[in-house]
Amino acid sequence: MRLQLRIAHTSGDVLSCQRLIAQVYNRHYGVVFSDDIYDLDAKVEPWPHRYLMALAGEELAVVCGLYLRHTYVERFGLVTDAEIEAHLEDAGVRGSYDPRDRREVTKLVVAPPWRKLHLSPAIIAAAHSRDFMEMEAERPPLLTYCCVRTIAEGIMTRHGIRARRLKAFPKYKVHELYRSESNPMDSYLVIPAVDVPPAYRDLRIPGEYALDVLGGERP
Amino acid sequence: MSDVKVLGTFWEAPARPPLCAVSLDLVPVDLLTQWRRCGMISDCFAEYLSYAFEHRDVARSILSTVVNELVENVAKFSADKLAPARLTLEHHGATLLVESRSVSDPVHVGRLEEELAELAAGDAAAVFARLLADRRGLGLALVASDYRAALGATVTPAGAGLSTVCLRAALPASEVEQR
Repeated sequence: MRLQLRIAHTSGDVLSCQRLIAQVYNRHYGVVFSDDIYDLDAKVEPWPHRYLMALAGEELAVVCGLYLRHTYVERFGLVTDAEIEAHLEDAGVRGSYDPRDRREVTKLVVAPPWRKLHLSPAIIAAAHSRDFMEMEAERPPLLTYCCVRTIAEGIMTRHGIRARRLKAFPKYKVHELYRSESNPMDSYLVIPAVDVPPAYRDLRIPGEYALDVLGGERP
Repeated sequence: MSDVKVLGTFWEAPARPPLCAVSLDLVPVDLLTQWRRCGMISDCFAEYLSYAFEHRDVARSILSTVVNELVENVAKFSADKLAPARLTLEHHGATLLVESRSVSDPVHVGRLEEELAELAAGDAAAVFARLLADRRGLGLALVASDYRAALGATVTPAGAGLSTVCLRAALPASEVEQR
């Protein structure tokens, strides 16, 4: 199987991504979205700023969003610049990154017809490429996620991408159907220069790739 | 017609045309993608009909609240978020009709049946208070409780186990005129 990767630039592409995300998030988590307002307790979430699309033929199979600023980790996860700085220090890259330059991968959704084909790992890998995560940036940013522990562990074991746990993510109603006691939600930091394998960092987008190149084959 | 099930207090609109009316076809997923659209539609409908009332600000506020409940209902409970839905607001003289028409699944129809039966049988304010205490959805109970709206629905089989639900709130025009 081959996937065509591209960043959503047109209004049609953005709408296609938002429709897919809204349908899946509403069905599974009861979430709705808005550009103007957000309220995690009312289950209204803000939209990401950019989208990465993976198409199988003409069909949008997987989509992944990116916050260019105002990440969940800082807004709702209450992670501070100093906490990020401490991780940069530990990694020996203090000064190479500005702890305030953060982006966040979010809202990964597989279209229903493409479930069970293990496409999520493929787009997670692609989301770590410079062409996506550094787009429109003046200097390379850091990457954050907030997700349940099994996802973070999956990213580590499957792709070799190191997700550094920052702290537990506070509880909000919007995540009541996503997180659980046995699978808690945390904030994570990825320092691209040291945590992401070059094969993913250097992936060119747009481009067409076999699933195994993206780490998306069945385990 | 025998397949049509009536729930709650379903107000039958008179045969003569309404005095003023506005309706809109929409696709529910568009509401999910931008939640503010619920408010935009409600405000637009309310503004449109408010010109029929002397106290336009009051009318706008009440109508927007009632319409918004039905718009959000369509967004949340449409079984197929891509299937078109329709919203209508009509002035029939003594009664104002707010109506939504959308496709729902059996789970939602069951909940709606329960809630409308409760509202039709009992004290809307008491139902509202209980839902508030239970932290459950308040929308329809609020409309019935605060504005004395009669709430009812028809449920028509739409195939594949789904139903077309026509939900109606019939609001006494006096509720708008006398505030």
